[in-house]
Amino acid sequence: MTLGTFHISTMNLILWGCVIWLPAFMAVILRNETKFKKNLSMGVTLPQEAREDEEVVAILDSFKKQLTVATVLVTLIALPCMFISKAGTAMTIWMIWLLFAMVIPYVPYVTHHKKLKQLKEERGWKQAASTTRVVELSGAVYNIKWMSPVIFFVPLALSLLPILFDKTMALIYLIDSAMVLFCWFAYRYLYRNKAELVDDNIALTEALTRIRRQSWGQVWLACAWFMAILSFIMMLLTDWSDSLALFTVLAFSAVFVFGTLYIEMRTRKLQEQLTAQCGTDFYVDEDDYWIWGQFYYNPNDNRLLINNRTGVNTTVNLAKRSGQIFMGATLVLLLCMPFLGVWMDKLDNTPVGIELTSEAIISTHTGVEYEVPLDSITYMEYVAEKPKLKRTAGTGMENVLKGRFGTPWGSASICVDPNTLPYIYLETDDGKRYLFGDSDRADTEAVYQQLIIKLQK
Amino acid sequence: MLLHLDFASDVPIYLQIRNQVVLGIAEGKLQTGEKLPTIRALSEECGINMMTVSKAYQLLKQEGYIQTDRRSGAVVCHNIAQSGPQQETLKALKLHLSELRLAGLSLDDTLALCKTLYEEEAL
Repeated sequence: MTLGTFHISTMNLILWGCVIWLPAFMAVILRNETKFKKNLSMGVTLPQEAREDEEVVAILDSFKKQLTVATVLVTLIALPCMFISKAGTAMTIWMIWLLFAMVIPYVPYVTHHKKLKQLKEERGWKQAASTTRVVELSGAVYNIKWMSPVIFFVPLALSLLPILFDKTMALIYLIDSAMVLFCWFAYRYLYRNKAELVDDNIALTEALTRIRRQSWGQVWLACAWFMAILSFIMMLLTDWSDSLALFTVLAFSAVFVFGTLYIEMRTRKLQEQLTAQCGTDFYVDEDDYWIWGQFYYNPNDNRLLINNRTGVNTTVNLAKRSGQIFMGATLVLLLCMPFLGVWMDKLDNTPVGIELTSEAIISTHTGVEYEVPLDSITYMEYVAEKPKLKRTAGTGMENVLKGRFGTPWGSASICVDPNTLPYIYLETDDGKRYLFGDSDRADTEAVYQQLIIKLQK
Repeated sequence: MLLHLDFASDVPIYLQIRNQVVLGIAEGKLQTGEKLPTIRALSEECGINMMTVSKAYQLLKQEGYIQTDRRSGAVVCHNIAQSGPQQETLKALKLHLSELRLAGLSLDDTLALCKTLYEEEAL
């Protein structure tokens, strides 16, 4: 696409479409934190009287203003990033932007959270010492039933169904099915089975606990259906048009993301409505366990998984070694994101090669990709026209296609430069298929000629 | 009924659970026949070891405050009146009475104090 003298690559446009809504998404979530739910506003437990307090209202209003400014700024910074033409550079810039987009909105959040916490101390609104914990002793709160695993069986069966019609992408369908199974596992075992305690009202605790558990189940069930439908989209559309399949997957992913956001916001709304009158007498205050209102640290809690204080999500206990490792690994992964572009650049700019030795034909890219012994080759073909290739597991970039692909001959291991023909197609005595091509046309032709001679011997 | 556990206290957590259940029964916050959470549920809720909760429940069971059943879990069952106070309770009472005497309280003062506390408990 060309806008005046600027050029926007398709990949850049796709990346832009995938991430541009993130600041707005985060602004919606963080703005919602200012509403009182379970006596909490911006991660600080406050009594009923604080809701009308002028200073509290001023802090919340100031946060909303700063959040809006941060969101607009981060979104505006993204606009010039669209015009970077080089794929690897664009990816690096986008990933750096993504990191900023995730961190910057939390700067006003943390500063205002601290102000609110300080005000709470000054007003004497703190309820309990940092070493105490309040728990509900009524058995009724803990008797909420889990959804039957059978409910997850339907999307599981559906996600496996495409294998019957399309064997070439069986691996992808199996991964989708494994994800459906993971959804059930996550629903059942990645949830901290804890009462949603606000005060000594058992009925309220039971209602809040039930709502949270139900929403948690809905999120994972939606995720399971998402994976099942994704398998069908892949099966139906990739044969027809890669672009249409990509667009449909992106659009469907957006529907899923906004669907889960809806569940989160609906849960928060219910928490807000049900606890609108709370905080007048006794109320549970666990602020001391939450660093900046976001990170849970409680050495007296021996569980790793912790429910977030509002909404549906879960987090980890940073007082546990496993929690620290998990959070550390997440942080390292996030910080490594910009290097994805550098790696992509290297991958895309490394030429694909074919080498012929006395024993084998070797396909190279960043290293030795495939090595086929000459005595195992049973069939060979010179491919002069570009065949239709469908990726099942591997890399598909501007200058390289490698990995497992569907080909006109069946599923094959390939390593070719999509811009340079010819290719060499091979079949071996163990039934395996290969498609190799060099980034230099002359090299492929030379290897093919030598291969004919060697195989004739 | 809410349990308030103090992790900085010298009183072990299992004993805090036991004491608060006993107080809850005495104050009428826990009724006979009322279900308590299972050991697993309560340990998950408190973020403590299952053995700690199990120890508290065992103690409460031994003292006759609760009954445990594999199917229905722990149920409040207050039949202590039939068996009379525990030896441990009598020992503790004797010690506290000695402390009050050493603190200078007469028999009448002690009885008046006990009466006030007993009535507060019954409210």
